[in-house]
Amino acid sequence: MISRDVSFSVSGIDFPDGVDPLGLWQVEKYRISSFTVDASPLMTESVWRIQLPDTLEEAQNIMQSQQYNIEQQQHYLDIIESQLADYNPKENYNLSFVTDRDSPLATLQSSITEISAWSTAYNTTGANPDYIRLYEQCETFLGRFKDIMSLQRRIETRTGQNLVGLTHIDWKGDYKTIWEKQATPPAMHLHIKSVNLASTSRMVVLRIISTAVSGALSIAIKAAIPGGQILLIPAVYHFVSDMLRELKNIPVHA
Amino acid sequence: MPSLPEELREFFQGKLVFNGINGVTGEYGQPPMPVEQLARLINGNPTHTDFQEFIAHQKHLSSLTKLGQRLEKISDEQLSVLQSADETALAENKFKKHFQEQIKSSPVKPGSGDPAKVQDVGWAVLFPAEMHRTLKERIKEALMPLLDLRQHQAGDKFVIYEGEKGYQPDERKDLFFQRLHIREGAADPNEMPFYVMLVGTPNEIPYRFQYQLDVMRGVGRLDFGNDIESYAQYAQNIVAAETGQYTTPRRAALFGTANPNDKATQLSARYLVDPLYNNLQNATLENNITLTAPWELLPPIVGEDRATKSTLSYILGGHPDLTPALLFTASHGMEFPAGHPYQIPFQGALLCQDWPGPGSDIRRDYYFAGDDIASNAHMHGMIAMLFACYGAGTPQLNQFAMQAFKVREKIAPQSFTATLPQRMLQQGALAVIGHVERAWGYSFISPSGDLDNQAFITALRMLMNGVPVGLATDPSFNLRYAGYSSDLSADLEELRWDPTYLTDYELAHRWTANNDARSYIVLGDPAAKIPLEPFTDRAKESSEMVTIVPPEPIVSPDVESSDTENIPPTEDAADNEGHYNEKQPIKVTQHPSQKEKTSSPTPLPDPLSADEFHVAYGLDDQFNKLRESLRAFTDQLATSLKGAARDIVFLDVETFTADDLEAVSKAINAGQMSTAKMRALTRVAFDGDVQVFIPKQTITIDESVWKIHTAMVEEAQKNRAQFLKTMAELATNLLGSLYIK
Repeated sequence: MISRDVSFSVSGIDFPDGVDPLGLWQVEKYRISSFTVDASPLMTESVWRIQLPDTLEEAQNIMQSQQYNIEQQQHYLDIIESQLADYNPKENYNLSFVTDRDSPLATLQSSITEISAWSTAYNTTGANPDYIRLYEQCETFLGRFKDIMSLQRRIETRTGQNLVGLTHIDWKGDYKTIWEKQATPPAMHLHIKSVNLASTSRMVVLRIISTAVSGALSIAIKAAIPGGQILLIPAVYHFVSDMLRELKNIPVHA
Repeated sequence: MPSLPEELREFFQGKLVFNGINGVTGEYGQPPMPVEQLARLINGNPTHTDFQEFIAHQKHLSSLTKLGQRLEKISDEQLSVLQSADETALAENKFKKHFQEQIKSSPVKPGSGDPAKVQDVGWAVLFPAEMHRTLKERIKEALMPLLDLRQHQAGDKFVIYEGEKGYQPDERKDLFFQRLHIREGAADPNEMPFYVMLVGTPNEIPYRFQYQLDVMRGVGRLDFGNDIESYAQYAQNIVAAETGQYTTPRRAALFGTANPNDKATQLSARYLVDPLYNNLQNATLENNITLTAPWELLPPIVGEDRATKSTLSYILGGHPDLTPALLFTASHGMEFPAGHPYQIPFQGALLCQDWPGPGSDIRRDYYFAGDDIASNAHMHGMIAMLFACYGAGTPQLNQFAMQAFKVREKIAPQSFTATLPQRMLQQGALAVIGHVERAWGYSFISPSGDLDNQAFITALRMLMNGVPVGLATDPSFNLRYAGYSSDLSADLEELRWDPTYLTDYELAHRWTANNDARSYIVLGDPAAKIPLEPFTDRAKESSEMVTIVPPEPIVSPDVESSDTENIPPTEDAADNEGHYNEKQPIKVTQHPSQKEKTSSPTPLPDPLSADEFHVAYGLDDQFNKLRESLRAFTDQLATSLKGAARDIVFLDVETFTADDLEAVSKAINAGQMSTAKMRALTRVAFDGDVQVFIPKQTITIDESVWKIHTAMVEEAQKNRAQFLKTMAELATNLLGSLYIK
């Protein structure tokens, strides 16, 4: 449970299905810069903000715990990847630890069946609204994916009221860190952990997307779904995210 | 046959095949011949059979002109005039070869300054003396922005050679020099500037004069005929490039055909283009010029499914994310019989991979010529090198026939400039290096099987470093020409006495290498250079920074040591109140605008056919849009990966401190400058070398900041490695999605 003194938030990007699959980061709506003429958001970078208690020991424990969680989720992702590779929709193969109708697998199977049906029943004289909805979903997915991948990042760490450090990472991976002159070494090391946590979180999300892409491809081939390798990406991503939550049993930040 | 590696033997088995395909017959322009025959012809000792074959070939080509109009026996007197002109050139080549070590460092007279700078070595324009006065004045007026620029740069070393001082018809270079009191030998800019731009057709100022002048100078030619507007446009483009009105990204492309069953292009693809690509990927390579900044090399566009006409159209289409600043091509050039209606517009056109190989008809959509460049194509800032027969132009007479058979063979009604480079210059390119006459194409493999492509490598590397084109060809092709020319002359003399002095292969190699090197010319201003984007080497840019090497490995401190004392301020530049007097403003680098960065690069043509399955099920339009969107994104990802791979050469980690970090954060949010003091910069090279920089004024290094900085360096290194791994996996998966049928 994350306390009131603690928060992990990100602005400037959104996760592909609107929610952090790791269950850690809360998405803040885009900050509007004061100097822009119009109200459109300035989207040159994403900002990852970590608020920690001003008690050093408590802050360190929280960071350690979150780092452990991320490592666990990477391990779960390995499992999900191999299960997806073995999954054959035509054989209704059940993943060993999921059985009920609202399970991630059932949801995925339902999506596969729906998209597969369109390919034999597509109305060529008019637009299929469900298909259009899926198409828009794919477009949104792709747009959010681009942002996560390509925007440069800024990571800020606060302990209590104090901004300890600010690190700017450009798209090449070069780091620029500005420290509060009065910051203590332990507080500075907390910020280094924050940078690690934010960077690893982003990497894991990209890895989830990569898993969704390869999973969609595998399913599309096995189920012989035309266009499935792209159309199934959001559904498989959703499946992977749901599986991670199930495995971790974490609450979802809406 | 000399000893050759096995894989090369197949290329040298049977007859030698030369560059150039006849657009009417679809056959080789120069019929393939055994190396022994070539050796005889080089020596000027054809057998009766050789001559008969030559005449038969001429009859075959003379469908539009009578044989008598194509061939004309040269009298001994005429031959001796030609030979004396050659001897002058030979003398200069011997001089150049003799002083080649000096000339490699500077081709101008010692004390003349930097040959890369127009202000040191001067710039001249040379008009034909007999150019129509009105035309000349109009051309000068059109070129005025360029002439003004060069005059401003060169000062009293700027010269216009025109009228009496212009080039007299059929004048030999040595006589031209004598007339204008210019001494032979190393260029003295006070007598004649180093950079000389010829303005006029090759009828008005012959190619031979250009070759000879080019031996000791940087020479280029501008020939748009009567098209005044093209002269004006070109001048404006050069001025815009030189005055920094635009820059080009460091991107190079290598294009090489490997037509089926065609030895000439199989050889050039495998032993010229591929090795060039491998060489140019390395910024630093022993015995090679070091590249001063990293370049993006597009994957080599070679052979099947890649080196097609449509791909070349794309590359030369001016797409900002694809068009290279430097282009090298290797292919057959098109030939047409003298006077054929296609000769002027299409001779020298690049025969692309679309041609199925010898024995096939030639179709117009197999070769890329001037009018294949779209009128809205922009090649601003490009310099191109075209290895193809007649790629730069065609002389009226065939030099080879003169040497081999002592006949003048008219291969064109008059000498002319090829339309493809002309068009490229009209569409923004700054210069094109190309071949006049046939390119012989065996010159980059020595008889021992070693690669002999250093001339190409040197020229390309110099261009990539922003060296003027007239200078870039100097230590490469000109020096090579000088060397081979003087050696060849001596060899031919020896062979008269001792026929075993050289093997036929050795002779063929030297001769083709000599001809290839001699006949490269520059079209465009010889002082033109690629207007490269500035490369910021941050480690060197600040005059406030010095380099130090850490005295010992730094170990990250134990977090649990719970040292809660405040970091004492360092004593440098602090006033009594502990405030820092020096504020070093920093600007947090803003990434190029979102629109710019995520705009979809135009992808290469999809080599796969349309997905009929999807069309049949009616999912075409929307699915295709989605697929194209994903494809564009994947191309962007690939570009980012390439960029990352290029930029992985260095990883920079900077550490600053600020008195009020909240204020800095707000300033960044508002997109404003902020103040923070840089404390350290670490640059980690890909090979593991580490450089550390601290501000010059720093008297003592703050230990705690230093330790934190080092910890951040480790973090950055881990992050980059992980990022590249993840991106590579992602790209692989995305590509799989795009190309599944």
